Amino acid sequence: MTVPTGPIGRRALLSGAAGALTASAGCLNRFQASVDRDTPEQVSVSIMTLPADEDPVPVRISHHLAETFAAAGIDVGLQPVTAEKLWRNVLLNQDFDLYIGQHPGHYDPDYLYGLLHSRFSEEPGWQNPFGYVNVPGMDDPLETQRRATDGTRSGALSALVEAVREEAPIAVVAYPEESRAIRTDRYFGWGYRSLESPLGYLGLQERNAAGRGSRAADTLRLGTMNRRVTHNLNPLAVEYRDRWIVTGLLYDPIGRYVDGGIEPWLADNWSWGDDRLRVRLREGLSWHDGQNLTTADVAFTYRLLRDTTYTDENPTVPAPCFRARSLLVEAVEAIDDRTLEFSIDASREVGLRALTVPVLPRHVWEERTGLTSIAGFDLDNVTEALVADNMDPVGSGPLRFEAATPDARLELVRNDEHFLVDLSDGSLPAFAGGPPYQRLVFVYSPSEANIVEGVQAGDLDASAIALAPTEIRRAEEASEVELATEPTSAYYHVGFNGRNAPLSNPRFRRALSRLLDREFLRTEAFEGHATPAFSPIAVGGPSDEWHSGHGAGFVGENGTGTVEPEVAHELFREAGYIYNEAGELVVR
Amino acid sequence: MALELLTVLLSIVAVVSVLLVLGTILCIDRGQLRELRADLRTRLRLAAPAIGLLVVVLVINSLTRRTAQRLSWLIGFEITDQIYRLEGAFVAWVQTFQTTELTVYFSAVYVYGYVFLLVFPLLAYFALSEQRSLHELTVAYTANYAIGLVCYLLFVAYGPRNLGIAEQFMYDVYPSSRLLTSAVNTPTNVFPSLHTSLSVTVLLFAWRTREAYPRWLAIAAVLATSVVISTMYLGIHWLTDVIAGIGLASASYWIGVHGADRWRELVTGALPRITTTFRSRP
Repeated sequence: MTVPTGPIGRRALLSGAAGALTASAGCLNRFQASVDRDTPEQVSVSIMTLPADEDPVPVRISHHLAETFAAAGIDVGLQPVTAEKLWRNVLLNQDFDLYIGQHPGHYDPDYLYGLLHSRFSEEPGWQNPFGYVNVPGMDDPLETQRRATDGTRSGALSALVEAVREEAPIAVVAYPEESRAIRTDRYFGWGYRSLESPLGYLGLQERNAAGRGSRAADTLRLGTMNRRVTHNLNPLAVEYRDRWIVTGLLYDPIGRYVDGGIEPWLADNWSWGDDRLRVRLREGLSWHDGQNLTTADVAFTYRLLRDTTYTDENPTVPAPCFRARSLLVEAVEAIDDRTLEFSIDASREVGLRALTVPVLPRHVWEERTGLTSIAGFDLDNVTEALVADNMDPVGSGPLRFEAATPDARLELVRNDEHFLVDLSDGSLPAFAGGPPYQRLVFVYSPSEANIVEGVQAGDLDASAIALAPTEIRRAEEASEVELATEPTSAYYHVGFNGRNAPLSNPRFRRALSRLLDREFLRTEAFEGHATPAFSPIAVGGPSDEWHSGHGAGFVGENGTGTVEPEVAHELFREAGYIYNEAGELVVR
Repeated sequence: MALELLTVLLSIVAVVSVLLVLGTILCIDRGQLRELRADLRTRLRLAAPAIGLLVVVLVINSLTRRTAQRLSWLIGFEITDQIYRLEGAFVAWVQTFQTTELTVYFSAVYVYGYVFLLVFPLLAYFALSEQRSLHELTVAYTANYAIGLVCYLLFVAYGPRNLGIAEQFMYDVYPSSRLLTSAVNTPTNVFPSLHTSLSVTVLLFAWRTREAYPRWLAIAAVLATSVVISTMYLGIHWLTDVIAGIGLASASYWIGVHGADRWRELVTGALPRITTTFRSRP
């Protein structure tokens, strides 16, 4: 290109160049406006469950969700992991989108304080694993119900249930009706919420010699698929504990839930004076290693649960469980060897819950207050107390540890020094005298079918676990096997990780929870052995509450398990979300 | 439980022994067996390097199984979802052909037929005057296990039954078979299918030795195909595992054919030196 000479030519050139620049600037604006923004991408969630071998129900629920989520244009990935990995991811590492699992169960609605209060959003364990924060909407009723003394508690609890529905930090699916396979020719009396409470094994009665024939009756043998109890007996290791049953046999609390109320256990009585609770321990309590159990151990336990480093320095490493209960205690004072005084920050009704945590021996756990180090590196957030496998547990419970073979069996023996053995004050009549067997053995089996066969053959007295719906059928058909069925508070639920968008948006979670057809799951996933529910408090509820038409109910036709894409899309549009041409739910 | 497991194991030993006798009658002639008896020691000595290697790998496998599984959860890739996305409900479709007879047949093939399929060719090739095939097959078995173990360490995947895609016919009908499978394997070790790869390896060698054992080729073809189908019919493996298993079989076959001689030479060449070193020590 030749450059024109002379003034006119130069001007023409300049104006031409300016025009070109202007034009390209306009083009750039358009380009920038179109391209320099995040491209919307389809929402993709991963659903974590146990594999069907360990529990077939969550996987079935996940397939239902995959289908209805797909109708809503959401991409779903299924992620089966072992129980240990599941709880490690959810409770310790907060590394999940959605998970489907069973809550450990509860006796009092106050457990929600730990589960949903925003003060726990940074804590590990069953303390707000969802990262859910709703300061007035949830925290207020959680605080109110703890302190209410004038009959206002039920109002606060209703508000809680309503907030759970509205905000969906979790979506309750159903309360299963749990059945275990038993045979009653050696032991009978499988009551006391036996799948949820250690009392189930303590309230058994022995058949008299004539009834049981030639069978030896000194060993109670239970089949389990939970191999984690053969590796770890630490009551603070949440990823190894489902319901704290085995550790509940090894360790005693000050008070235990018996038939719905808290009864003195290590205590022989307690009394209230204002907000102070005076507790007197039973006489002559001892640990399995022979040392005396004193008020110093009790005071130690509550401080350890607050901070397992047992110092006032940083870092603070709270125990990943029992926090809702241990925080009820503002201070514990040992008055003498047998008397303690607790300052309780709650109503008396809720306050007694503080006494239901396991008491740990100071002389053993004091050694475990140091930060863990791996290969010379100190870890800042873990103490030995949380990672010790505790396979030589020193408890004070009615049974003590005898032996364990990893992945095979766990043997406990009767603690003849236990207070139940010589109980003469008329308390705890169902358990007085101690367990009616010398030895309690948990035998690991790779499948429930093997356990049912074991019970049928007389090798086992019962299954230590609830049977899956398909196995209930098998057990019903098996001769000599009985089913002990009980309702449970250990509800199945979908947990959402509210730390990341779009799951951090309550509208989004609520829309997701409305893709859950509880009636369909009752028949298909639970094969009828469950009560569908919204509420994390009451078992069940008004029989029609989960039906469509309810503001938080399934958007499709109830019981069909399917939803029309248009209906599902409308649900998310109302929540403020958009769809692309392909019908995919997209977010920036 | 231990007693029940023992019963299952004994039943396998009994059934497979009967099958081996039948297979021997059908496929191997008397002259070969007489020759085998006369030549036993020499042949054992020749086969020792290959068999020793196989035993070492199997022992390592059984000793490290639990640790390997834990390690696998830490470092491995979770690929169950990827496999499911890739093939969808293919295995569920296979299961739509379910009948009681098929379940009995495929369960028997999966447990007894498979063991017979793996053991018989060792015996048959041992009875050949030319011992090469035995060494090749043994090295190929070793390659299957060794590569399979590495894959199991790298990939964490549950089978279709565990993802609720498929029913578990065998365990429903024969619960005690579960005791066996859980004693020798973990549920996250499905990719690739070792049942498939070892069976196909046997089939490839049956083809290679078809002139010596034409009948065995026919038997192996039927059994290997049945084992491959059974892994999916019983809901244990994905189609992806099976295809990967066939790939592993091909690789192992190649390693067996090309590596057997070299391995024997390496060991027989090294052994005298090693023994001399030990002897010359004060």
